[in-house]
Amino acid sequence: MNVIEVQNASYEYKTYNDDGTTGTLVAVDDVSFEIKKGSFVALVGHNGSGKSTLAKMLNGLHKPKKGQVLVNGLSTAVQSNIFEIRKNVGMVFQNPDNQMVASIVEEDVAFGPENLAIPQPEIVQRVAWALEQVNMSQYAKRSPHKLSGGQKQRIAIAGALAIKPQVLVLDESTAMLDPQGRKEVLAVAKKLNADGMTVVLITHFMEEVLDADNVIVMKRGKIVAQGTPMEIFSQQSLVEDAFLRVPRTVELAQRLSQAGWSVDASCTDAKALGGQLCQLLQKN
Amino acid sequence: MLRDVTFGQYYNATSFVHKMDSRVKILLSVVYMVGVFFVHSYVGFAWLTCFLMIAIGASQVPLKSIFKSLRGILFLLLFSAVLNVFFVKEGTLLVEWWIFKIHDQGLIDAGKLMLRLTLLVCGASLLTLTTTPVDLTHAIERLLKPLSWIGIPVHIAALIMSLTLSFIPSIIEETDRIIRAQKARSADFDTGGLIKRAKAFVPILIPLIISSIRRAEELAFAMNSRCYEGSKKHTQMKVMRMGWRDLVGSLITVVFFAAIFTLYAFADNAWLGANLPWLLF
Amino acid sequence: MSIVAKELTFVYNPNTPFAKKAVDSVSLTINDGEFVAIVGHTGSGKTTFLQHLNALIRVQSGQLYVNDIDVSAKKVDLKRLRGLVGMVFQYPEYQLFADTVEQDVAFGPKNLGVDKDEVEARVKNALTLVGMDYESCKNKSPFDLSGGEKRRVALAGVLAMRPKVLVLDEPTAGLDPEGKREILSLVKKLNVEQGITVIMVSHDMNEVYENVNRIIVFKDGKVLYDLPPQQLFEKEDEIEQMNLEVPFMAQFTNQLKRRGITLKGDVRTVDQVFEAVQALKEGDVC
Repeated sequence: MNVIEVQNASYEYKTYNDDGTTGTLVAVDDVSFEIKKGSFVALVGHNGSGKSTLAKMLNGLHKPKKGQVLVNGLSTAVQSNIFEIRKNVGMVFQNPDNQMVASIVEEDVAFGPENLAIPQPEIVQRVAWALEQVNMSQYAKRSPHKLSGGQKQRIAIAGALAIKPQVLVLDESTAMLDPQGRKEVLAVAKKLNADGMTVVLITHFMEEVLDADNVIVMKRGKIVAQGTPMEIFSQQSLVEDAFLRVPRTVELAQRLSQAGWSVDASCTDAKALGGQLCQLLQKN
Repeated sequence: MLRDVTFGQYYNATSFVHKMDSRVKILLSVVYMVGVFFVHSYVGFAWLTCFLMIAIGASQVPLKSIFKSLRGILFLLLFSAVLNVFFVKEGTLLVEWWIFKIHDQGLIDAGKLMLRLTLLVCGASLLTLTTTPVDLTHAIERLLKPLSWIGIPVHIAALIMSLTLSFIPSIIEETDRIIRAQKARSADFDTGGLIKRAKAFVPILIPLIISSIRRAEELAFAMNSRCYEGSKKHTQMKVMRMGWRDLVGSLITVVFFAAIFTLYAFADNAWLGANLPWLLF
Repeated sequence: MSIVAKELTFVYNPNTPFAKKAVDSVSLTINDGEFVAIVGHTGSGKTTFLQHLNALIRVQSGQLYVNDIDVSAKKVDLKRLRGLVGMVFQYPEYQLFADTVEQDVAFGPKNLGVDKDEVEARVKNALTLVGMDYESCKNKSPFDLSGGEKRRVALAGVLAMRPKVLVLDEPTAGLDPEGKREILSLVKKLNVEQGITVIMVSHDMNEVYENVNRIIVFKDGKVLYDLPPQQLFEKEDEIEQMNLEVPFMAQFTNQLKRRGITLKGDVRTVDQVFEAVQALKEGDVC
């Protein structure tokens, strides 16, 4: 079953030229895809490819200029649907410092349920539950700004979870983090997905999409490829044409395999790949 | 190092005063401040000082922290005292030297003014030392709630306060980063005339404004994503409950201030009145 | 001509209960023309150390020389020092402020007191170096550029000061793979062709591994390792224990080495590793 359907959707920004005239910049150009319930979808693309604009179309922050976006069959173009849609599609953004509305962790997480007018005792439960999901319970009474980037993003995820959405969209939520923080956020996303949450990950770190069910590659506003990670990565030139790069280990595995070494061409673990090669060499 | 604005000048403790409901603390502080302006006699001031000392004692905040807040207004304190000493021309002339004349009333007024300001600032800082800005925001929102019945958006105002509190640390950090970046480009903020110095801040202000706009945009996205719809019906997680401490605190305050007001009412004829000369010194 | 630090120590909030030793008697020398990476976690002291290099933080104790300038002296010629050591902070595009690209890039050299014609020549040269077309971009507002272009203009703003040493704090943060590649090849070009000493802070160990000649690892304010990349990442267990990542190609070659197979030469990029493995095959055939 599809939880989100994007049908021939386009979006354009207004641009202002030096001579006072205005123009348009097509950020998302006639894009169609579906997101299955419970799946882990990665949306990848270069900076300015339109992936982030597209992400913001999934909960009606941007409304399609052409085509439509349906969430559980409800169109984001209809204003009266928006509240229902946002209850079902939680979103976390790039800069952790720019999405905190309160200076105490638990009060920040409570913001969503408060807006839904949830009764107070249930808000308390939801906040506790959400913080537990991201493993940040012990920070409930703290001020978020002294925490690490990864911890802040986990709190932002808790803030989205407290709304109890079906879909969690991570809009470049790992872009500003160090490797440790990225690992933390990714681990949370994978765990949530294993528990049944639909996850949409927007990123340009190709190592992060290795475990996705479906990878959508964008280039200059258009979708240029869609498939499992290995289907995508086996087309190295396509990936590089989209200004991205195949993860180093996968690239090496594929090139070795093409050169006649019988190693697993879809190996994602460099150490294991090294092991495989050793066995080949030491057999002879 | 930056101070954590979330906790402002908050003194972390779990005293009687800390545990009181912040709404009650605000109301009692208002009563206290009205008292400070009301009182004219030294007995009255002694009475207020006594009240303040009890409150400070119950708050476990060291006197040193309270007096620290006086440092900021020391100049104001001395300046207004000096004005009073030299410009009040009532009462008996005590000293005369060149164009300066000091009257006894001038000394009395100066002393009272200093006392009044000191009591005021100490009282206010006791409130902020025992209550975090976050709690103050919550309390003010609830106290002002009646205003929302006549259409004043109290909740939005409180939200703005809360957002400000949560954004100040990152904006301070950002400012610091930009200053360092421009300094690395050999920008000079410390020399030259006023205009040159003012101009030197352009390379800081512009990036700061631009980044604030960017922040605001992302924040708006984040808030909308979390189902924020302005004045729509909403609930609150934070519960404020009054307990026995609030009752005891209020009772003590009421007794104290009832005494002060009685004093004031009988000021003209009672033996404790303010105009009795022996109370003046 | 080089950077020499001797027993450099810096304490935040000295003599208070909040005192924190950020840099702890660091001694090291960086020679002209080196391409060095400095790695370590947030709070390891690497940023504090680097800010000493152009006196954004003044020396508390120990000695620091940048070329002939004694940075630990009471009075330092800041203009000369900051012209010598260019510092590019994280997300440098956030420091852009002027109406036009040209004015923004000219800010640094103007502050150094360079005369007008020379400023213009430097701006032109710096913009060309970072791969921007001077004529078409000079009158544009820096805020109308794309993210990658903004970063390159910000970099030009530092290069226009003609530094001999370039300190870069995570120059590729937030960029996509193509943007990363562009910035890194630019930095490499500056290092090789212009002879600029480059000191780069990065969290991306793969990037560091492939590009630099020497890695200095900071931990708790001290220099823990100071080694060429391949030697450093042979210490897989130690590196992982520090919660730093071991580059993929190092994981691969280390695994081979454990089984007694050593790849020859410089094997840090995918290309190099692939070629070295292919060489093994031919070796077998022969």
